[in-house]
Amino acid sequence: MVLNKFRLNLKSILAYLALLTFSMPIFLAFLWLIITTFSTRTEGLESLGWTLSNWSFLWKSPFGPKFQSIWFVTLNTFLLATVMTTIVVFVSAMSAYALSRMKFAGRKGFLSATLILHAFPSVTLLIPIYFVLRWITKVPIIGQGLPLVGGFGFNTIGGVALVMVAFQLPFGIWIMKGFFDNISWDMERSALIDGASRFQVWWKIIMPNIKPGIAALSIFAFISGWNAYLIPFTFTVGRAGKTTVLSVYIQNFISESVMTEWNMVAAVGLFQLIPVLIFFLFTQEALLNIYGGGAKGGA
Amino acid sequence: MKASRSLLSIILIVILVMSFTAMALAQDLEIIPIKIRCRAKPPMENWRGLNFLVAEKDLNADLEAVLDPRRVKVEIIQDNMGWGDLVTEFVLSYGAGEAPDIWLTGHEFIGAQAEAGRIIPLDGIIEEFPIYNLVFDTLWDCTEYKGEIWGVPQDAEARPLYWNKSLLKKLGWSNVEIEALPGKIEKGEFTLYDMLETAKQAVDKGVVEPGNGFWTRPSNGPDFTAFYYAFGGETIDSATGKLVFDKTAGLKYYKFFNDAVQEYGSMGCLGLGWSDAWHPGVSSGGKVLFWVGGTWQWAEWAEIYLKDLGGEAYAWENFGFGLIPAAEKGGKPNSLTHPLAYLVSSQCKHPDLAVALIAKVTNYGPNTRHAISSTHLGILKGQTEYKFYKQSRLLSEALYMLDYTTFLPNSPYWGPYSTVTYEALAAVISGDFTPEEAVDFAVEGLNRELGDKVIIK
Amino acid sequence: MSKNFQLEREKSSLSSFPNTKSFFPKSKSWLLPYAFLSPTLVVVTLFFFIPLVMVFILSFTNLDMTNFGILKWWQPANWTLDNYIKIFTNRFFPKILNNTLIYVSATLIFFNVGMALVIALITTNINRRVGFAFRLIWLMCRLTPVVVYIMMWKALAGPAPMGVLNKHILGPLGISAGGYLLNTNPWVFVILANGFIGASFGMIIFSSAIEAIPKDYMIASKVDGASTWQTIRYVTIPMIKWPLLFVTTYQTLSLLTSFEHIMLLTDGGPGLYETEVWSLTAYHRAFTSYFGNTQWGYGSAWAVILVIIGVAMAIIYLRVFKFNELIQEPKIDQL
Repeated sequence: MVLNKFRLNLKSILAYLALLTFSMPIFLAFLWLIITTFSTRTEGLESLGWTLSNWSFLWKSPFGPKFQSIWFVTLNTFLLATVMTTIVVFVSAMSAYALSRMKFAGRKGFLSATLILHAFPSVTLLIPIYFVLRWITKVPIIGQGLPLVGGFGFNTIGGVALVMVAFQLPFGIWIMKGFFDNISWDMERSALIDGASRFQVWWKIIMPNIKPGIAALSIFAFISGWNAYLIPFTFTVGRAGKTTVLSVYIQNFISESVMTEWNMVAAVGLFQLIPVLIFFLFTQEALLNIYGGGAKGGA
Repeated sequence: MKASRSLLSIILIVILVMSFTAMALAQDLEIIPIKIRCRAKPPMENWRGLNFLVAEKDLNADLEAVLDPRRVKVEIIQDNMGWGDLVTEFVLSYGAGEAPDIWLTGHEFIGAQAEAGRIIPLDGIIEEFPIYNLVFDTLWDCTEYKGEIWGVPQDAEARPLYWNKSLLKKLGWSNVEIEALPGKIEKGEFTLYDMLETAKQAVDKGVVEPGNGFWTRPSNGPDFTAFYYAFGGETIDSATGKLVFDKTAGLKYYKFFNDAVQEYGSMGCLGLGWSDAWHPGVSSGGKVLFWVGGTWQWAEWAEIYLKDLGGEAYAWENFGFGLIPAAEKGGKPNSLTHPLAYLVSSQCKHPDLAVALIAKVTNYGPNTRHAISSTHLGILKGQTEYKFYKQSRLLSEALYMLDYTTFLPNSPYWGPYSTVTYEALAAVISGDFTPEEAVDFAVEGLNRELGDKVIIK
Repeated sequence: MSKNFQLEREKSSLSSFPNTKSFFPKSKSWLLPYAFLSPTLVVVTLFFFIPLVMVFILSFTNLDMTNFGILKWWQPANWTLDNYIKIFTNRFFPKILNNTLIYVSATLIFFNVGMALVIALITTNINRRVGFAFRLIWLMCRLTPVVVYIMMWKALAGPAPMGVLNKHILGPLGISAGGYLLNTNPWVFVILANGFIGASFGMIIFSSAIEAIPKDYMIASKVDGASTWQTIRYVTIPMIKWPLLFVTTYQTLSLLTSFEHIMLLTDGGPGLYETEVWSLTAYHRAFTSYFGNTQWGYGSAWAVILVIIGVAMAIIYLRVFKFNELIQEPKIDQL
């Protein structure tokens, strides 16, 4: 059977049309974003003049000379995403390995718990988490004194990262377990026979073989951290302070009081989208296989 | 190799000696960091925080002159965060031990923060800086709570009734009548219902769209209380410090807005976005006849929304302003002022230096800079004579409103009170409640939320 | 004997294991799984269980901004049922509940499950690369920073002449008067904005599941003369039963607890509680108010009810869909 690559018949045409119609808002939205970024004014999708001036925030703060520069904020966001991703991947992988390979009391309960934990609305826990962060702040060194991330307490990048890790863990464990389940037992069996400890097996054998899973989870976690808004906003001080991240910084442009200069906001928004776009272009397979572990519904 | 190694050692020794000397000299100087948190709409209100940079140098010079070993180093956190978020942020950061030393906020928050012990009273320290005597006496009332002073006023403003002169002309008013309007309002000859009548005429004649005869702000805010006061309402009982809700005044207040919507083609403004609909609607769009706003918005319109139409010149050409009219003929017009104040947190380790810094910015120079760029009113006696203040026509022409102005009460429970009464108002405007139902809703809500902390008259 | 083992070990490629004591105990120890799980347990305890207990306690106090730091909320003497009474006698309680029900069911049915299934079905039946591309595009919504994403929707819904929808679609068709669509039709956009993000989750899972269906079934049904629709109804869908149930469960819980997008889009408005959902109310009460009305105790009470509903639904789903059957035994634990 030689199938025409595009199978153009009535059904296919209808299918394509349906897809296009449903996806129309997405196309329009991103088109608007790009056009607006490079225009002086836009009406709908029409540009009233092309310009690069909206990108001036890259070298000049739009709110006055003493205002935080966007590069500092970008660094904060990068730190947050990286710290959070590293911790999530490690901790998820360790826990998922145990859930996938070991028999122990409470295993079933733990698995169900990861689903139920997802039912915890983050909003309900924000207040007590604030208390927890406060206690952490009082711990010497770890609380406030670390370089770069500033520590793990309130109003530090580390603290925000830690909270985000907590919310990502159920998802991360579920995903990693799916990948672990797909690895055959043989390699581990040989290694265990040879006298390796479980930890060595995990670190030296399984982890290298699970690179697609690690990649997928890392990308998702990184993007989550990069895009985060509510948690950084609640646990840091100021919209342009020492621990501000990009999403919070953008709100300066869209506040109720200042006239929204849509064009500059679009530029800053596109700026924040750049890493996501990069992942998008170069890691498509990883992205779309993220839920592959749970595809069959089996656990 | 040997030569460069000895050269290296010599350089190291020199550096060591120099740093020891520097450290020895620096031993005598104690750098005190002072953290200042301000809220400002950039760029117009930037001076709220930036004034402290100038003040820092000034204060350090003073300290040097009296051989005080301390020097201050200010850290300014300033952005346009929302007021509610700002308060939450202060409370949370205080709880984590990171409160700013100086906190700029609306005066009405003083009650709650003072009760919780997060700010300190300033009575004793203020007396050491006679410059504070320059501030208008009435403004100190705003920062007073339970007999003590808790903050230093930072700026004042008034909330006038604005009108669009070109739309009035279209309605058939003559220039003479237009120019006479502020005076008539001041004398009590042009009342609130007169204004609504005019708005109705404009709608009927097609000068404005229905709903655009008269606008207020699009969300909850101090302005509405001015109307409640206009109808005879009280908000606080000075003897007990409890909040008050007057049902008779409340009914008239809700009825006014109900009529505005139902009969006079107004109040199509609730729920609009500030920057994409409200500001353009009243300023560059020119489609509203009367609206209540703030004097500081004049600067926003001039610099941002009317930029392409001629800026401030356009504003003077097309907009007029006056007090909020009286409720009945012969009554007193009013306005509402919502001063901001610098507060000092109780976690501040050097309150005397903090107050000294604030004293430096409470002077003609710094305060006028802020007043002019943001069109807030000055707070100092004699400021109208100050050379640079005089240059703002709006500030000079609006200053008389401070004689008629009113204030929000200083109560820790103002939050729930304001929310409940506003929710009732919003329901009246959307048509969900009649004025009577609104009053009942407000009373029920106030009793539920505040219990015995409110007196219902 | 031991000598042979040594030789074996050297020959095997896994001979890099030094005979040192590893930090973790050897495989036969019952402690081992818990050691692996320990970081998770620490984090989850710190940030889930302790906060959960605290939220329950707080909901029985009237901790708010005026007594924060003063009220000893952990002392039972300060506990009252006031907050819960306030919630159930709140005039807007039915409306908020109603809003939440509408929001969750509409978004779930139309997008998170409905559209996801539709797109998955279509994209697996057309050219593979094109289908892949479309799924990627939908995934993009989920990967866009929330602030930017909402900004794009606001631009779409903007008033004429700036709004994209007004200018290019609704205007020329004569449907709309050019007003701000978020004010005239807020629910449409709330559901759309959340739905586009939610759909990508189900879409990816369904696509993988559909592509995993053995080709024999599809061929057999074609041979039997089934139409596309019949194939879908009688072959495809039953074979992806588990992913369907899983996605429904997961997304219901997600929707119940999500509010960030609604907050940024309409903030519960326009008007009084028009699009306010339960989780947003909890956030509002606890964290925001123009005049500093932050009431942590009251907000916690709203949150607690939400948690109870969420956990109850999760347990119901788990039972009804018999997830226990899904959980396989671990591969092999002992040698």
